[in-house]
Amino acid sequence: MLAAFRESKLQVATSTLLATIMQFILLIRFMHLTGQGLGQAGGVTGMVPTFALMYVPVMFMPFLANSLLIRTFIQERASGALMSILATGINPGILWAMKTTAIFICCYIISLAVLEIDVLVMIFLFKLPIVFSITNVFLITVISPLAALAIIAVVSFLYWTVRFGYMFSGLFPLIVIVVLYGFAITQPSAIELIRGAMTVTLVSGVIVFVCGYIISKTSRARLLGL
Amino acid sequence: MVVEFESVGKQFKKLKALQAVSFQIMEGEVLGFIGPNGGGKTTTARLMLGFYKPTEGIVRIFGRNPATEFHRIGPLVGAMLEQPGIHDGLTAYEYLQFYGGLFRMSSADCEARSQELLKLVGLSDRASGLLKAFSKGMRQRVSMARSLLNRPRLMILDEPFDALDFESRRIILDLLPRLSKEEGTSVFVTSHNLAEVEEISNRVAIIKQGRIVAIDKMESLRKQVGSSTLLVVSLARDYPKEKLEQLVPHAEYRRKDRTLVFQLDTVNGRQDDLLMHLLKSGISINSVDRQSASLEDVYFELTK
Repeated sequence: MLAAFRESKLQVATSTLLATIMQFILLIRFMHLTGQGLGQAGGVTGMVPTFALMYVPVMFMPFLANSLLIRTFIQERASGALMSILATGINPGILWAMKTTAIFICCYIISLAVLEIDVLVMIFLFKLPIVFSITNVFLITVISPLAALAIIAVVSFLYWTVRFGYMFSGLFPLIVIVVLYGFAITQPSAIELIRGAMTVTLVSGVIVFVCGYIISKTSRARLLGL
Repeated sequence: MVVEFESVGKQFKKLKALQAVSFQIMEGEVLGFIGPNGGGKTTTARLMLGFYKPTEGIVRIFGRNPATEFHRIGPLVGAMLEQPGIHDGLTAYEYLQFYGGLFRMSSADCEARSQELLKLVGLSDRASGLLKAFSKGMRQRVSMARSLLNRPRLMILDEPFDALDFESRRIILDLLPRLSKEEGTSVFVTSHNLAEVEEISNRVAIIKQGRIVAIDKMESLRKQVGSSTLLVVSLARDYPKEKLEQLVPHAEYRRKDRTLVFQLDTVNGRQDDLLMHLLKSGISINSVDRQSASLEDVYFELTK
């Protein structure tokens, strides 16, 4: 990841800016959806604007991850770096997991910065009340990124295992954005939130495990495109 | 026995890349693997690294099947592949640290070893420089350092001399025989560069169209082609190949050097008669010399 950031600062910056703009447009849409409406309090999360922030990581992170994956994976394969790494005897599944985790952590750190910008804009520009509670913060900083991890894992998996997978794997983050765009927000109850959080955690874990397992069983020749 | 290939074949759809390839590499031995483009050199290297499974036969590295057990073999192997496999955004030092992590080396050991190897390959003053700025030769040197990081018992080098500058080439040429003698490291090296392979190898294997044509020590290979000594007649100017073939059918005409090359045993003491025959036929001669058959001579003789 260090190499990718050093080599593609402009690409990272551009991708970050695009993702920020995109998720911001969606945030504004969420804030205008009926359910509770703007400025109304209710439910465990407090208000719709606060609740809408939960969707930021899941929209932003996969989009940025895809940009980083394009750079790192294709370049490593073309330069022979991936072949050299696999020649050390490392399990391909573990290697995949390490790289995907590194990308996830980088995207997570950037998304936290973007979230701060969102909060400041919502408070000072749109004069919206943002209510921070333990539940809100937990949803925004843990559960939502876990959902993003699942999408990043699938995108990364496609890069590694499907020939020319990079040509269509970028669709996944866009699909997420489109689905969320059409998603009507209603304020969930506490039980629904807990169930949702547990489901996201479990599903993300299963997806990451299954992807890693399949890659560990995939021949190295196939992973290298030989 | 470190490496064992037993009647190995490898088929890719319609292409038979390797056919009935058999050889062994012992501990501390340097085996040079030479052949034309598409001959099967890289396929052999990749079979050793477990990237391919053989279609026929058995491949064993340290007694294990590399296709299924490379996780056990990898820590014992140092590989320098046809592409250096460099991460442009890292410094030389960070690059070695990264691989040290993959080999699960301790930080202290990795740091000491990285410094040692960068000094060995003549790049200690460039340790903090980004690899992006390195020349091809420097990248190959970093790649060599990386392949030595884990103190391998077997080195697999695919075209290590490719596009190298003189200095880089000399570093590798000096290093490999020293490794095999002093540390008992076995080396498998493929190359087009016959002179370098001849210099460092204990044995040489010649592969053509997926088959091993010959495999032996250099001196034995020279005897296989008839004589280890050649008679080299340097001509004053260029002559039509057909005329020369008619005059001296058992000679090899090398247009580039304008030389006629004879196996000394085919001349058989009739050197003076031969030269008179050429002169009477109007062939102008600059000089006559005796040379030992080089690997290049052996290669062309065995692969024609």
